[in-house]
Amino acid sequence: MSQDDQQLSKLRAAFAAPAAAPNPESCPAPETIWAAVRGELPPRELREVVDHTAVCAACAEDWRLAAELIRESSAAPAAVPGKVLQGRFGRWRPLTAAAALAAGLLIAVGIYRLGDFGPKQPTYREAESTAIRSLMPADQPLPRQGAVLRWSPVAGAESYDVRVSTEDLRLVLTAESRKEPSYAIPESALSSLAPGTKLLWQVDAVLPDGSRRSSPTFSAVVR
Amino acid sequence: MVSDSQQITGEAPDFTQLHRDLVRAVDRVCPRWLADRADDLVQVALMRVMEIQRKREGTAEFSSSYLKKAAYSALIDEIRRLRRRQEVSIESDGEEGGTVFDPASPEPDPERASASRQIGRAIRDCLGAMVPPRRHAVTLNLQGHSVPEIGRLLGWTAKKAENLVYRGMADLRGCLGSKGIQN
Repeated sequence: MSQDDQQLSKLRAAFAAPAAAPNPESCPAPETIWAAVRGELPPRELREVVDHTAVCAACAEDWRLAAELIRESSAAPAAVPGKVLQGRFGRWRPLTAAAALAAGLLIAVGIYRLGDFGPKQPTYREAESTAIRSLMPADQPLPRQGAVLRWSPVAGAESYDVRVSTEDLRLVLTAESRKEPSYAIPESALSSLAPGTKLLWQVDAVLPDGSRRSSPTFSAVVR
Repeated sequence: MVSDSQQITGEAPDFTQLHRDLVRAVDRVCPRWLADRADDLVQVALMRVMEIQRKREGTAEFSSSYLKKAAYSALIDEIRRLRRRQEVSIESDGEEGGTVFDPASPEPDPERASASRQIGRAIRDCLGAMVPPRRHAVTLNLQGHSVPEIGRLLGWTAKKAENLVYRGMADLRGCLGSKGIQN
């Protein structure tokens, strides 16, 4: 991350710091903010909403929430098809649904890339620069002794939370407040798992402003 | 012609997916005290959406984008209600003292939280003093939008957006510097 990016991240974090709304009665309706973020407002109204978010921390947060939500729904196809599943632990779909989704995405992404068309999705420098990637060697089983999960560090992250589950969503372990972008899995956690068991793991980076960046869900097979 | 918000679909709304998207968004964006309540907030918001849908439209089913917008509105209503309650408790503790622990802050350390709020206030002051186009560009940049996206939102060319972001950010740094805030 360059110095400029670091400065921008700091400014963004400070801008996102909570503060009292100067005049809640003048805050735009949620529907207006939603339409503004989607670029559906006339230019003058859009500028009025942006002006308001410049001075109202609460509405600025509402704006970011809308942007995140809009990005969330449009970002799902960005997952690498067949290798990772987007989503939080405990709420995954059954594997069959995921496989069907992955196949669908593979086709959709392929078509999208070939044609270079489709809706322009909002992109966020912050999100791009803080995307978490697995640093585990591909196609190598996880040893039962000395297994270490590794991921790309997130600039500015204060800590990481890790969750590991089996494919049928049985929680294997959680580890919180890890300072390093890695986690050594205790041998005991894997002892009851059959050879070839597929594990799903996910990392949350906790940022200084309290927000979190969730990784995609990665998979690994126990040796 | 049927607009997006009125579009009737033949598919049942995926409230599970909507719930997941909303919780994740709150978790990522909102300060800890709100994010910790994400599940409850979203649950309340979705129940309101379902109730509105039941009352107004009977068995009609709506597009996912319409439902998402409705859920977002209900969620923001809930968040604003909680914020008002939070503000009352902060103000009654005498925020001007500067050392009172602010539960709304994402910072675990009261001093850092206070410093962060101060810088946030200074940024808002500086934005208020900026010429409008630069203010719009910088505000959206601070909100996490990329330069091309700022251009699309505000109807500018990429070059114009880049220029305004660059100059606006320079203005902001200068203004913060004049307030004794180095970044």
